[in-house]
Amino acid sequence: MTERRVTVARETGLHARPARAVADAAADFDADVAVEYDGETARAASPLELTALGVESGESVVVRARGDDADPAVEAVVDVLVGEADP
Amino acid sequence: MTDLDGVGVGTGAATGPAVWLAGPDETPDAGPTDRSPDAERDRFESARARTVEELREERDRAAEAVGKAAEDVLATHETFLFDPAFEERVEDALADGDPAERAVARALEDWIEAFEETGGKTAARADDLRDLRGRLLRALRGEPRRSGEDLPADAVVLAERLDPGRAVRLAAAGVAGVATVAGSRTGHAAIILRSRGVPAVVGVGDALKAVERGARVGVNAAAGRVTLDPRPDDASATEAAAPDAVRAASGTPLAVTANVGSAREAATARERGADGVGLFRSEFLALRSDGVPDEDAQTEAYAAALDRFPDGEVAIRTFDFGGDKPLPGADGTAPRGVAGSLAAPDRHREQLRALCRAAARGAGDLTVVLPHVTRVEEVTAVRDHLDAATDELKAAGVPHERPALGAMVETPAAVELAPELASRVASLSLGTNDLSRHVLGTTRDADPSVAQPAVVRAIDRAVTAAADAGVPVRCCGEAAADPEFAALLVGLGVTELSVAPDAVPALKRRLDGVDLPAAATLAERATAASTKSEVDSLLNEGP
Repeated sequence: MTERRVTVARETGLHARPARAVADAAADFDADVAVEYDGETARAASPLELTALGVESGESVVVRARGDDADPAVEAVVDVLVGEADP
Repeated sequence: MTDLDGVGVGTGAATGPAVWLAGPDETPDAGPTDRSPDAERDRFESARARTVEELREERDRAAEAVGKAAEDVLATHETFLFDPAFEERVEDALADGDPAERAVARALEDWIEAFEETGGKTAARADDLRDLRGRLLRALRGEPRRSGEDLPADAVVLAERLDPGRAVRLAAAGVAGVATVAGSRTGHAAIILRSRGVPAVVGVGDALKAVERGARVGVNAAAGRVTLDPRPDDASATEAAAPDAVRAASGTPLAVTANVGSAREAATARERGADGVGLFRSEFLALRSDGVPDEDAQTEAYAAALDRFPDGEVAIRTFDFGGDKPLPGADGTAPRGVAGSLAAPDRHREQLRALCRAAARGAGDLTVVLPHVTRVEEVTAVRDHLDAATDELKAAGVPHERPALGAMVETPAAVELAPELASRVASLSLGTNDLSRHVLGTTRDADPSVAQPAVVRAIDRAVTAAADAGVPVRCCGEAAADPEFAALLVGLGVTELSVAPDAVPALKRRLDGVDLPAAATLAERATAASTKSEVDSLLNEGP
């Protein structure tokens, strides 16, 4: 399992449109990716679960992945989360 | 006169007759079903497929009629429909024997509650799910799609709450203002209204419900206030004054014009202080009525827009169908922009005749702008058609006037050919939304920033070519509405900025008295920049 803690830089946090971007990024890899925040875990493939986490800009989350592509999958999701511009 | 406080969205203000929107019927059919889970699953899949089709059609229209914000929101709705968490909850309910209506309604209700419990910006997204629930339930019941709202001109629309889909339709219809009982500044409906310049006040509370249909209502977005029966001279219902004529500190005149899709929007632009119309998207006339209006109807629409600016200029773009904005019912493989017009010569000639007739009838000056130009021959061909159209009108004894011709620069091809194009037309129009996308090679869902150095340099090349040919350049992309980027554009040599009507006053205030030599220095540094962050830093400095 690969794991990284990052601070969400998206101006509007992790809601709806950015969540969609995370799901799109994770979909390219053979890995189960999850985002953990404040004791709750959401599947990266589910914008609904990601949005429900209620992560605001500047807050810290943990990205975890299992599977053959765990490393690049985490990296791709982290890239989306640390990007400043909203998609 | 009574004031009600809420949360303002945008900067404008409007007064008009109140019209209440009925809330959607979201009650699921409660009765048990005698159909099998498999049958209900099929009904769900059919309803989902119909909803996807509806969202995609709406997204294509919203992209042009309302802008990228609306397009993004509707694309996100489609994603939610295939969200594994949503699918699991629907599947569990169907397996338990629930009818599809109840499975959908309950699954989304669970998420609506979860979003609202989370609070903050997440709570604002609950309205997106209400929108989806309404769409799916209508599809399951076999009800027709929601059509455009039948609203009187200049209406102030009141609603319990507004979902994003409805906001798209209201924004495209050009309503004067919006006020809602519930809602949030960060909701997608609010984002859509703001992007389109529709002044709105959300979260006014139950007191709004006392307003009766037809009552005069003022909406002041800047103050977050709804005024019932405002006095005609009530200054609070109008926005802060912007200068009539914008001049740089050196005295050089700068024009701030508006992007519109109808004569009605041109009237709104005039009220907001626009100096003219920098972009009239003529294809809206067809997209809003599911077909191309005939020559007389087009003439009326163009002349009405010209009459709004008797001392100004109205730049009307010829039909820009194709690509992500197909003509309703047409073959989706048709080329876009001016190439599409040239591929349908009868329709094109009819539009040119309507434009020539309107140029003679309307008070202002008309410029015909050609979209998505990629070849010099396209300009030559349109000129030939224009010759033929004026000959036909002359032979028939129909009053007409030959309008000036302009070209859009929104492709790398047009940037490369800018010197040749500028020598053949009266003006160039920068379409920065498409130009950024094409220069950067991004997909339509990506975020093609105009602050990327490659885009800034492309703009600089086009403006320099126009200056060499002695031709003015207007910018009618979203970038023009960003006050700091607008100052950069002025520094590059753009003399007219065309923006959403609501953005006109703020842009006029920003550009009035701008230091042109300082803006030119900033532009020179931005053109030399290698990274977006360097350009962003320069924008923060400002001239």
